[in-house]
Amino acid sequence: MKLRGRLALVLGLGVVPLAVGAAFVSVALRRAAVENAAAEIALARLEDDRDRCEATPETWPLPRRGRLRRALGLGIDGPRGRRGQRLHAYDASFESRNPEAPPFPPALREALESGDDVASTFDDRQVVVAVRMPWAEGPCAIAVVRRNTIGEPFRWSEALGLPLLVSVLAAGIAIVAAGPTVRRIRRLTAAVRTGAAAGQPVEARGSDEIAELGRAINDDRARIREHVATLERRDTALREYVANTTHDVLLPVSVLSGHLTAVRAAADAGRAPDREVVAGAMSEIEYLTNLVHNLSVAAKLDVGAPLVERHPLDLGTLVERVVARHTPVARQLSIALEHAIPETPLRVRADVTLVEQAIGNLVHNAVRHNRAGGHVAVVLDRSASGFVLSVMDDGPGMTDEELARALERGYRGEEARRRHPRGLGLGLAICRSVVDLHGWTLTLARRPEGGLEVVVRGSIDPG
Amino acid sequence: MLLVEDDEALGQQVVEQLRRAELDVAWLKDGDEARRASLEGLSLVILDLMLPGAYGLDVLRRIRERSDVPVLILSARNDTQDKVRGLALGADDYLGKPFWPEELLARVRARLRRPILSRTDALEVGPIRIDIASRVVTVAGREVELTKTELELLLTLARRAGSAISRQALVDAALDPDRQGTERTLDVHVSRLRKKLGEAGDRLETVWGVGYRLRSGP
Repeated sequence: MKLRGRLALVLGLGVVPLAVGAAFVSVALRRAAVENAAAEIALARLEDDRDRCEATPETWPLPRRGRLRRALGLGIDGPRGRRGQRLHAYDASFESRNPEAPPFPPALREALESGDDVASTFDDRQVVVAVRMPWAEGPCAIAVVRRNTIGEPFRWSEALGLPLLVSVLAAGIAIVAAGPTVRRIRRLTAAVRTGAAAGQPVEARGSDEIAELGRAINDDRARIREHVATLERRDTALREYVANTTHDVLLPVSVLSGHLTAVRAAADAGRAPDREVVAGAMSEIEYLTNLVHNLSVAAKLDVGAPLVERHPLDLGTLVERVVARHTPVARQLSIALEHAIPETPLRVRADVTLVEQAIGNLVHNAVRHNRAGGHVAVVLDRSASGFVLSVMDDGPGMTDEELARALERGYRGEEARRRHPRGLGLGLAICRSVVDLHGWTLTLARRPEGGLEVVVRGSIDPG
Repeated sequence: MLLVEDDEALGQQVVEQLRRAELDVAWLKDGDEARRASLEGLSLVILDLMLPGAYGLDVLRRIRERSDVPVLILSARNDTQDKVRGLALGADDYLGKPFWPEELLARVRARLRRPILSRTDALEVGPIRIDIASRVVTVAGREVELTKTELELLLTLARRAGSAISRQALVDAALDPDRQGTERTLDVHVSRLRKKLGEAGDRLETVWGVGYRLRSGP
């Protein structure tokens, strides 16, 4: 139901009972006033004129002018007043000596017999009020006032008209007055609908409830936009992850298939496979594993810092784990991979998955870009302020330009491209991101003796 | 030891690798079975986290309720929460899939050789013997006279024989910082120590990029 329809319904449901109630109250008050006034007139008149009434009950009351008429404005001037009001006297058995007096109304008789001193009846034409006098003897023990009521609203149905009219008018005014409010709400609705696609804020000027609603909508829309942006970033990262994984995994898998085919051919011929072929196959597997982990970590980093989970970890144990992972491939490639860690645990607060992958990337690069007979060393030491982790090799190293750009995502040095045409250039960029996220530092430098040294410095966990 | 791994091919490979290394291994493929399995006499449990019938961490929790046997977690999920939860629940180590057979064997052997924390009076590495209390060093029974720095160097290396120790760690442990104890003077001390150890001096290996190592094997 529309707002104005609902308003009309509510007003209608509220106003009609109010109007009916008001009519009832009005009629009841009016009847009570008339009854009281008539009773006072009759009492005053009979008390004042008792002697004459009892002396000539057949003709009483004679018309007379009196102060009571003027005071009460009821115009009782005799048996039939100017406004059609008549006064008659009855004895205690409800009989009148005046032959013009109508019979005593049975309903009033019943009321007086039940003990009431005053009783009245109202019908379409007249009001009749009976009043018992303070005395019970004689022909004038009860006075009855009859008054025409034509045109006067003594019935609630007759009194209902005006309150109902006023109420309906008030309801109509309220509905018309609601127009501007309804129009503003419609404008707000249209603004919400059209602005949702464009991301525009809705109008929220003013200080009333509708303006407040507009501001609330704008605030909520901002929150939704932020949430959607996060979801879109995740979605983009996921799609890139899937696309990159599909493309970059299939290539090394093809190379690996070639290596395994060569191994099988050697087995079929009854000879041992070439060492280089086996080493190549292992290298491809290592590359694949590292690639998948890097893409996973890159997707996690692209989403932002909230996904980084820091927990206490022993950096020495983590270095041992990374070295153990790369040792088989290094051995196959005839590269000496050595490491050293402190005797006691070196605890940091870090995301174990990210840090393990970052250090793994440094070792992976040092092994993969080295030559047979080369060396790679991973050294973890305590320092005055925390720890120093150094990964060095005696491979071809980098030029100044390569050093300057090495940490850019997607950048791959000349040597890396020449020796390993595939690769996303993710490894060092991930290292830099992970190191930054943990508040550590990372530096790359050419070793004087040749090769590269990457140094990570950070603080230990005080807890 | 007990392997809990649901993948047929991987489980078979791991079992063969461990048996080739002369290690006795039983294999369970189901998490519920693993929760009920007897842990009596086991020296190690290798536990996959993704199991049918039960989540691996629940199996780990049940194991820890009943035993202190070392547990090595295998997981294909490269997820920090899993690693942290696993270690918090009492796992001793974890190994992400895929892994090289020798990587697995190295981890298994590391877990089987749990460190013995009891005090020892003497360290022996090949023919080299160091009496810690009297600080007397002998090589093949012949006493060798060492300076205080040389003795500290030898002790530091012998305590972790077989592992490379960084130059910085050796400087910190053995050289006096007030007497220009730097990495440059370290090489001089090591050279003298090698000479004093005679033929056993070749056990004191230079490790490229790292520092030195006292070879523990033959």
